[in-house]
Amino acid sequence: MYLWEIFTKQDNLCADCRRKLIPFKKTTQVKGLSVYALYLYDDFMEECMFQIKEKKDQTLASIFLYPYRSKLRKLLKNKVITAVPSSDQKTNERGFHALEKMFKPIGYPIHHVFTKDDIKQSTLNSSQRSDISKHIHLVNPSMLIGQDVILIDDVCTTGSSLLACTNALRPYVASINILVIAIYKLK
Amino acid sequence: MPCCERCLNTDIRYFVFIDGKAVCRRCISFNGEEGESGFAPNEVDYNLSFKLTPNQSKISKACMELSFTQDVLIHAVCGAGKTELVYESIKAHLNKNHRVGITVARRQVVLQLYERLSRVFKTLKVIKVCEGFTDELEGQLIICTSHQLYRFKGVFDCLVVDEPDAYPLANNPVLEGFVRQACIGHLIYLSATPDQHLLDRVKHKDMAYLCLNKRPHTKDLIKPKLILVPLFIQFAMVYHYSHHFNHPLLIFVPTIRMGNILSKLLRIPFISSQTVDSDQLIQKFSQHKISVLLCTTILERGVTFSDVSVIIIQANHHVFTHSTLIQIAGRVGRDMHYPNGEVLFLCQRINHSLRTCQSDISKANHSA
Repeated sequence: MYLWEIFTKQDNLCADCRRKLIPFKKTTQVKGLSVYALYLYDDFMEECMFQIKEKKDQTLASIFLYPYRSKLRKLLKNKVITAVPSSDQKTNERGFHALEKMFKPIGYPIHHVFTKDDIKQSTLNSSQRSDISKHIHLVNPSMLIGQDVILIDDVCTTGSSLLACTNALRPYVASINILVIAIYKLK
Repeated sequence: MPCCERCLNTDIRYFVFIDGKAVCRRCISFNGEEGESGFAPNEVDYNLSFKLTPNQSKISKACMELSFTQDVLIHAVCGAGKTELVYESIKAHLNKNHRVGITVARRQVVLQLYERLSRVFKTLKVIKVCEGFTDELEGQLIICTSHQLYRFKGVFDCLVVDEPDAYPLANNPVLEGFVRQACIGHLIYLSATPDQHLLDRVKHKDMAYLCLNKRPHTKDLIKPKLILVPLFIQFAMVYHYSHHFNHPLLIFVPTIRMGNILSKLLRIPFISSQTVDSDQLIQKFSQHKISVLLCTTILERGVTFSDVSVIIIQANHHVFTHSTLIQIAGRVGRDMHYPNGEVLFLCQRINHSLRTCQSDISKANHSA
């Protein structure tokens, strides 16, 4: 299947749109954490995220990981995947879990061990965002104890949510590696 | 052939299966509660604080009669009093136990119309449905933006469509699908610059056509003067007018970039889609605290200044379509007390839009 793709280069996006997504594929330090990001968060990425999350177009969600699915399947093979939470209210309103849909091309299960209270992250400023640890709660880490964990999120801006989750998990797990789809870099 | 029942999309590429159900991605972003139109309980009447002109009354009556059997296009020039023309039709339909709605292109207009119609139809429950006002969805006369029509599928027996040629309603297949699905009876289109496809429907006798070429004060529409000069002379002329014209002046520029440059050079305030305090500036201008205002085509519709003249710079630029030119010229001479004003189109060459704009305005003035 993957050998054949050398000749057909199948994709679920047209070439024009695929070119607009800017791969990053590097690890950067955010709030003392090593974060591996697949893409840069630019205007086009913002439009795509908006279409998926606010316009509820879940079909678009799989475009980010599709070209990297075989590589990521190998990398994440023996790890346990968990996600930075979004509030239940938002997920219900949306009708689907955005991060789940974005990670569908990988096909591995995501273990949700966090819950988040209902506040909108994007309306907060930097200092308010750092208080996010108050709103994120670790509920059921039993599946993660002693494991090599991959923590995933869609967009990393300040890294506060990631830091809160990492700090909560550290006492329980063997190792934590962070993978985000897009990272927002200040120029 | 698959067809979306909300936006009438027939392109199969937009359909996906989600949880076993077929979903149309073209209108997937529209989600919300459904609305309902109630029937008017008693005899409905309206009260106007002024009288309609004989022309207006004639068209109002004709529209009322025609709208029971076919779609109607009311082609009325800017400032002719389009809204008043449909009051008779609204009254007649409500009295026949029909459900009536009005859909407009822009949110601002919803709010304005709501105020007006609440006063005119005092006995009715008039509601507004637009962004920010989506809690109340049941009423007897519903005024909404075209985006909100997805909530009212099959609800209206008579739907008035105001300015079908304005953004965002123009050439938007999703919104047009909503309009069609919302009204199970007949539509009444109100426009000063109807699109070609509406005029074609009239030509093929698919729709009735009513034309109103005179403003209530019966003075002619101001004929635009075309001045053919190079761009740098246009800038010089604008400089001259902005300092020596003792009338409120609205100067239209084709691009935001040019507007910013001119605004700095001439020290005149500039309104564009990027301006934050545009409402404030518009208010100051209409109160005559500012006498000259630079703007983009954002002000081509929907603003009424009692006494204003307009100048367009680079009127041959492609953003100034035939409709835009007519709408801009229509900002002048709307008020009964100030029926005169100047309309200057400064251009580098005369193109088709400029020519047809001139001829349409002349035609409207020559026909009675």
